[in-house]
Amino acid sequence: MIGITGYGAYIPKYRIKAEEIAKANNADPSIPKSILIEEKSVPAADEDSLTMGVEAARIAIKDIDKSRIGAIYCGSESKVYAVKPNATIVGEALGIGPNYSAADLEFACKAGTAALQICLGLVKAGFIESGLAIGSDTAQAAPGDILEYSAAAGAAAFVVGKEKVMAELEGTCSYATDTPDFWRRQLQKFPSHAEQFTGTPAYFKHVVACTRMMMEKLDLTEKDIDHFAFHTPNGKFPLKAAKLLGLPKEKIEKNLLVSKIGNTYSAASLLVFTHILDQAKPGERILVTSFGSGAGSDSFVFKVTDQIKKIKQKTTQSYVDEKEYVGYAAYSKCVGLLR
Amino acid sequence: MCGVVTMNIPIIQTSLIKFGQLWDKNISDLIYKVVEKLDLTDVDAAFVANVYHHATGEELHIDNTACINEEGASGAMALRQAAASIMSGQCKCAIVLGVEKATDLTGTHLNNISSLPTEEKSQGATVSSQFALMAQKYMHEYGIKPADLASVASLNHKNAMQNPYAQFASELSAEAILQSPMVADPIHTLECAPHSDGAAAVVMCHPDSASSYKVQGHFTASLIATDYENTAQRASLTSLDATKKCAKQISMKISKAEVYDIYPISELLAVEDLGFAKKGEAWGFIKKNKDMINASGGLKACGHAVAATGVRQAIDVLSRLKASEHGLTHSLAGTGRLSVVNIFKK
Repeated sequence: MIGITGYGAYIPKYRIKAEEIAKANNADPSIPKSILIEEKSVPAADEDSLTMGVEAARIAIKDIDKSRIGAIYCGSESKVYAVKPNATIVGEALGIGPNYSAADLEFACKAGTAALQICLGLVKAGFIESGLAIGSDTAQAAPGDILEYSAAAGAAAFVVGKEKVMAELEGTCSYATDTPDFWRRQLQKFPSHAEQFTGTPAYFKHVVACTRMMMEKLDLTEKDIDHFAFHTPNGKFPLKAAKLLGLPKEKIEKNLLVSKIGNTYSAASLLVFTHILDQAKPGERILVTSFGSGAGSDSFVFKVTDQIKKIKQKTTQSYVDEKEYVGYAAYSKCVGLLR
Repeated sequence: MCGVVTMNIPIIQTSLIKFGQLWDKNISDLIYKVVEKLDLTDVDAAFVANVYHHATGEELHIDNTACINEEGASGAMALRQAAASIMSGQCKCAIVLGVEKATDLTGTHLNNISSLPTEEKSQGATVSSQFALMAQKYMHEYGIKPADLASVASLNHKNAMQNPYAQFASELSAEAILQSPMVADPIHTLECAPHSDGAAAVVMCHPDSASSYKVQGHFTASLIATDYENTAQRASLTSLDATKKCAKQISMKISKAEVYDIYPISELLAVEDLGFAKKGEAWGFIKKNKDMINASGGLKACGHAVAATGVRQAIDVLSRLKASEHGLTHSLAGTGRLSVVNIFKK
């Protein structure tokens, strides 16, 4: 049996309300409401994709024999160094190594699931006993851009292996095309996006196609799956994807985590997954589909085992609830708009 | 003096693609799609209207090709130029093709392309902001409320429900429109015609060869007039001189009209400037004459594939005319620097 043997979440405690962002930009407050964003997480001045990744991974590996971790892969589009991996700093901070494979991955918002998929593959191939996959981002958005309402910070970490599996991998598949919906060139501070092009031909096309392919591959229907975790660029998109797939609302409700924390990019679909795992019961099936601009999706189906009952750790919801609001000025300082 | 061309040009073929966000089609795909069912054997000239991509119409392989960019009036201007060419003997049979691929571009790009004078554009003016000024002045002078403006757009959606080629063939209430985000007070998002992808084409021939074809209708007159590009230099904010000058040349009774409703205010101004209603009474006139004005759903609900719109309007008005009736299409470039009125009869 191959699957998840440990997981952890991390969301910074600071929040800014979407209406505060609208006010600062003299924008219509109905805009964030229309995409179902109420507030978003804000990284503290001393937090970045690395520190958040370490926080999430610390929880994920708490019951794991570190000497058996043979890989660390970190997915992020807000790496601390342009050249120098987050993965080795995470390894050092957690006391893992030096016998491990390490790399940072980038694929917009799906680098975290790419890390997870690679670790699962290495374990399945027998190259490693256990691997650590992290999705972590402090997302950037230009002031006044619609992205500013959602671009947030968070991390999720997963240990995969063959022993004490709490969510067994039943299958994974991917879907990718060259679709220029969202990008950030070298040395640019903020990303660019192609407005409505980010919807139908990008997010919906890839998420829906990959999710369908995953279910067909495993000969499953929506009735066989208890929870769906999609990439959450905002609240509206996963709900619309679910509608296109004909999914009932109760099976995707955890995706609305995004309304309270914003889009955590590489961590987004994975935090919905940790949120589901926190309350999952043995026998439940979870389908995860990420989306990364540029563009691609990874899908996974996991079946929860009895091992889940033994998990006692800080939940994703408790990170959501522990919050302190900041105004636009403090937010500007935290995300580097003011220096 | 308004530029008038009168004639009796037979329209022998038409083709229309339903406008929309056609993500899987590029500009060539749109051209191939709109001409695939047309017989171009006798066509010896092409008039290609396009605003955003400098489309050349190379896909048609016609040597005698002219490209036309007059923003929202491009399609109407291409029809006019094709008719003039046929009348002058430059060609015998012409295709007029309007095509637009707007969804490849962002809002910023689209705003930059619009032809506002530098002194307005440099201060942040957009086509929306200038029509919003006109709407403010119109509301002030004639006691029209924002809900009335929203109702103009709502009615177009209702009309479009009977139109299989409409991009938005669904009801949209004035209340829902008023709740959508403000673009430029009093214009809400859902009062703006969308930037659509699409294509429309008609084939016209010389009257002398009409008997060789199945004639669907006639292009009988084309009127154009211009005005200052800068709204501050214009005589009025509550009427468009370019349209009024065209209207003075209309000598026949008009039964159907497809007017340029890029925003509700532009539809109200058109209905008044074309002489259908007195100043301040356009909305009352439209309500009473639902079958006459924008029965297709207009730009608002059919979609606005900018350079294709004038051709789409011509196809729509022709399809609604009864024997011996006349109908017109009205389109504008920019905020009213140019008005083109084309008149058709069955």
